[in-house]
Amino acid sequence: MNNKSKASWEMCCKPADSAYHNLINTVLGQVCLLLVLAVLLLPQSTRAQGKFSISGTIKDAQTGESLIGATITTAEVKQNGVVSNDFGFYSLSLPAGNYTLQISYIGYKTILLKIVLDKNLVVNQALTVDNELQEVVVKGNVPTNDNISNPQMGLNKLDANQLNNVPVLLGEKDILKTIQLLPGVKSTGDANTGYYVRGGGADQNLILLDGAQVYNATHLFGFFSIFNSDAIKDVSLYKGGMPAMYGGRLSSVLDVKMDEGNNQKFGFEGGIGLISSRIKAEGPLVKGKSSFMVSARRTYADAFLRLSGDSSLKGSSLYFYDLNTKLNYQLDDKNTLYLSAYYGKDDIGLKDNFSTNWGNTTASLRWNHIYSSKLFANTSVVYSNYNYAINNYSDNNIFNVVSRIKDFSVKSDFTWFATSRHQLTYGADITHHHITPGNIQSTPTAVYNSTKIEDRNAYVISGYLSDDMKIGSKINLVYGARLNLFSLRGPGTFYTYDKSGLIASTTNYGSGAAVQNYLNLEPRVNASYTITDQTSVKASYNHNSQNIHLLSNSTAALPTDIYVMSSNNVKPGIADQVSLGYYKNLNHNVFELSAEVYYKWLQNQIDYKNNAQLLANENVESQLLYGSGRAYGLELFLKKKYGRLNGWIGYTLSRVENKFADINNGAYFPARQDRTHDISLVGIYQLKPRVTISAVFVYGTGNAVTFPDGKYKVGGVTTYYYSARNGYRLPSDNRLDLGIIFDGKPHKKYRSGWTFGIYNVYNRKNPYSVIFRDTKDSPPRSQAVETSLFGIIPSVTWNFKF
Amino acid sequence: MRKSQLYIYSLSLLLLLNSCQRVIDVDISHGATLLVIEGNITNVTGTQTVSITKTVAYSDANVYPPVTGAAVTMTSTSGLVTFKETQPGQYTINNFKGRTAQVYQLNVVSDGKTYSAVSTLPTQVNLDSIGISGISVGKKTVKTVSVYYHDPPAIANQYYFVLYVNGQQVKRVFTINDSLSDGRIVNSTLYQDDITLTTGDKVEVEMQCIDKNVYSYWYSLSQQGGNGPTNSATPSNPISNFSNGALGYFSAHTVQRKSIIVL
Repeated sequence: MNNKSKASWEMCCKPADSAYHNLINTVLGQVCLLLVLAVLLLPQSTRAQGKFSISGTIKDAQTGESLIGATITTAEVKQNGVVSNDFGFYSLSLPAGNYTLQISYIGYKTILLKIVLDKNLVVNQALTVDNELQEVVVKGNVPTNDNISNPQMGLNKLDANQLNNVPVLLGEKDILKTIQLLPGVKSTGDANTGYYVRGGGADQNLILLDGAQVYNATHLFGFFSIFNSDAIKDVSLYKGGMPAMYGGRLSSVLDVKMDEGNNQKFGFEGGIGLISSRIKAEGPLVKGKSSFMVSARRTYADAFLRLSGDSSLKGSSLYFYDLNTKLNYQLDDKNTLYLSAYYGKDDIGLKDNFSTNWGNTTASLRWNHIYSSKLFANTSVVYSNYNYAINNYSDNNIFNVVSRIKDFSVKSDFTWFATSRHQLTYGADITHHHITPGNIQSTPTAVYNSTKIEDRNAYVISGYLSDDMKIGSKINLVYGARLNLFSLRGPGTFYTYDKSGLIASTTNYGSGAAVQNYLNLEPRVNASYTITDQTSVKASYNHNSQNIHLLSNSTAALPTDIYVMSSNNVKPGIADQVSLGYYKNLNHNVFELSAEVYYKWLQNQIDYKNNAQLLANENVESQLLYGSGRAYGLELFLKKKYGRLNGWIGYTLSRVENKFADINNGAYFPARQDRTHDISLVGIYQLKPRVTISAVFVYGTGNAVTFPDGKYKVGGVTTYYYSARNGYRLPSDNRLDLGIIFDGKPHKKYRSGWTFGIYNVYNRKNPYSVIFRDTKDSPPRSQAVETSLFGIIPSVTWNFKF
Repeated sequence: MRKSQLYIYSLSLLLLLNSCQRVIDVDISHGATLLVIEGNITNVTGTQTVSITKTVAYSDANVYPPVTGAAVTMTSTSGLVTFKETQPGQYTINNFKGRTAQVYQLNVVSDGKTYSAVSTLPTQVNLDSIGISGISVGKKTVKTVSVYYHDPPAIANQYYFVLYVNGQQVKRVFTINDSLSDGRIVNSTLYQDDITLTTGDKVEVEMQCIDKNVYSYWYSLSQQGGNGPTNSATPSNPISNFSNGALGYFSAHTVQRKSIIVL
């Protein structure tokens, strides 16, 4: 695909250009009309076809929580199986007749139900956990091969078992660290939760927590994520072939769903670890109908500081905490409400000197409505906020800095199980983004002036439509598109800049006036061809755009992240990805093998000028450079899903390069995250009924870095001369982590257990950074000094549940 | 914003708890040899010097070959002055004083190529005082040097500081502008980890008022740390004000010095 045809997906226009403006309004109007028609008319039009539907919700019998991804099929017509959606709902269309309905889910007992289908049926089913080890897969209870027939590519799912058993640094279970063990996902640094997916930047990952976007998913400079694993139910990572319902980021979607809480009985669980403690409570509000879940976690590094007896440290703070809560209420068979909220904060401060805090708040209220056995709808109201504050109070130098990004959105998503061959998903959303780049408030004696950098506002209006279509018994096709209008609005003063970064023109816009619109049509296609029950090939293409950009020229996750929106200066980032894959299940679906290749074109990528000043800079958009990128690779994945031993082996061969006119003489250079080889091995073995051991091994080529190839002296300081950007490599990275979990004997009322872990067992010094300095010789020479962060680190956690 | 340095400070502390450093071998190829010009004109009557050297390979000793036989001249509204090569690679004029608000153009001709740079000598802002302050971290107190001055309102000012401890220069680049502190009484800490300050040390600070381009040079140089978590993600070359690809800078600036004994 050449550049021209890619550019045609995107239209950019100044509002002054009324022809474009009209076009946008017309297009949007038509999309809305289509959606309304789809909702109102289409579901009724498919009644009289001699077919009936079976629909319902699949739940866990013990907790009442809905089960995502359960397979519902019939013994008679296997290829017509469906999978329960994010809220446990399914709908299956079949000709009238007698069937054996089979409902199965990993780790649960499969249910077989004889049904007579002579009218539309509602089958709500609760499944019970299968406690017996599935060492030998019993005939008739063959795990499903949905991964073969489902056309979705580039998708990895993690369940609680994998999350809880994989050893991690300091015993803090962390989904963002666990997904880095999947092929195509790379860490931004040793023990860091930041990640790159298929060569995309760390800010190109959409992270959703119960539908709310999380801007900064890290704590403590990136060493921990905001996701408290106690509160997490399900994690899906899309590395490619993103469904049309997701938009706004170029490289991946991480969809995290919180636990709903047990609607049958009350329970408490928690843990005391080396760096944090956590507690979770859940239970029914109205038994069987409604439940709550509250989970909290706090670190206590600062408690140790206080114990030190040093008075200067007693007033210091260094901690973070997370609060998650979710309530749900089933109003009736057709209506359920979910309220989810997250609040988290980091706090670092030195007594009488400074304090700083940062964190996210998200909230989402969702209403599930089953219009009919064939039409499922979810409507959400979502709030998301990330902010940081810096307070300085040393001597008479008193000031504070506040920065914030805040989203408010409303959206509706529909799934229409139209026929046994077509399943349509469609929806629309509108989001208001509000960015406060930085306000400084100071006293008259402070070093800094009170300053306010203008707030920025934008609306994003999106609509999408996608059809999941079965063609014959072998081909599955999911095709659709997302239409995205980004509109930057006043009030404010907007500048354009000349080549040297000086202001070229200034325009004032009133409140609500359109400054810049970008319209993007994003086609998404996934297709699969099932060769046998156990083998398939798939292909996908997706086009994504991104209008919120993170500016950071540091490799650490600093809280002082700066977000800018697409504007008259900054164009939306664009990514086009094609991928091809081969999938094979072995040994009765116990093993999953996949091989995927991908190629990704990236446009309007952002880098920084040599002397870029990003913080508290009103003209930050003048500090940016724009270029393109390309990423391609091969990912191999072998996963064993069942049995006493499970886990996976992942291998990635990849390349990612960028091209900027003003960097490296305009030639392609490797991006920092360009790592040729990545290998990960994860093994979890149930040694005894109550003892589980686990191991993780990772190996990766070193990151691409810029080293000097000459030196000179100015201002009395040795200065290095750099010619090629990212022309060198850090040494390779490898590490083995081990864990062992002892589950205590179940008592009548409670049970407890211990988790022990060793991070970096053979104490490998993995490179984090390399700096150059003078030796003490006379005359001095230069030496390269490598810093590595985490050597061998043991951990212990005590967990309890009652 | 200087406060970001405090993060960096706390981040570094955090990492130090667990990090380890070691010298490694790196296989670095030899780049091209380039011309380096370092020219300073001050507002203090005396010898003004332009030194011209060449870059060396990374693996070489830090001895920089002087460039001899260059023609060095400087023009301003008061006419043209010619520098004399008094030592190999050192070109000087004696008994010269730079004037406030004067625009100076330095021209260097070497091996048939001409390199030129322009710098304006800014109005002097007084260095009111310097002081030592301590931040307690655990049982250790990290002593730092602070500079105090009153930034004049409504005009853009840029500053560059050179710090000496017992006569030895601290190998860090300290530079700041007034984009956030225009018109304020500024107390700026010169954070550094090159030389640890202890009681009895003599600390000397040189303050220079510099023009915008020279600030841009020092600022971009100060960002050159390279590949560290707290440094710019990708190190690059400072932005020289010389034409024709010469490295280095030409700075017409003010000079003031103050010293203090660490208690």
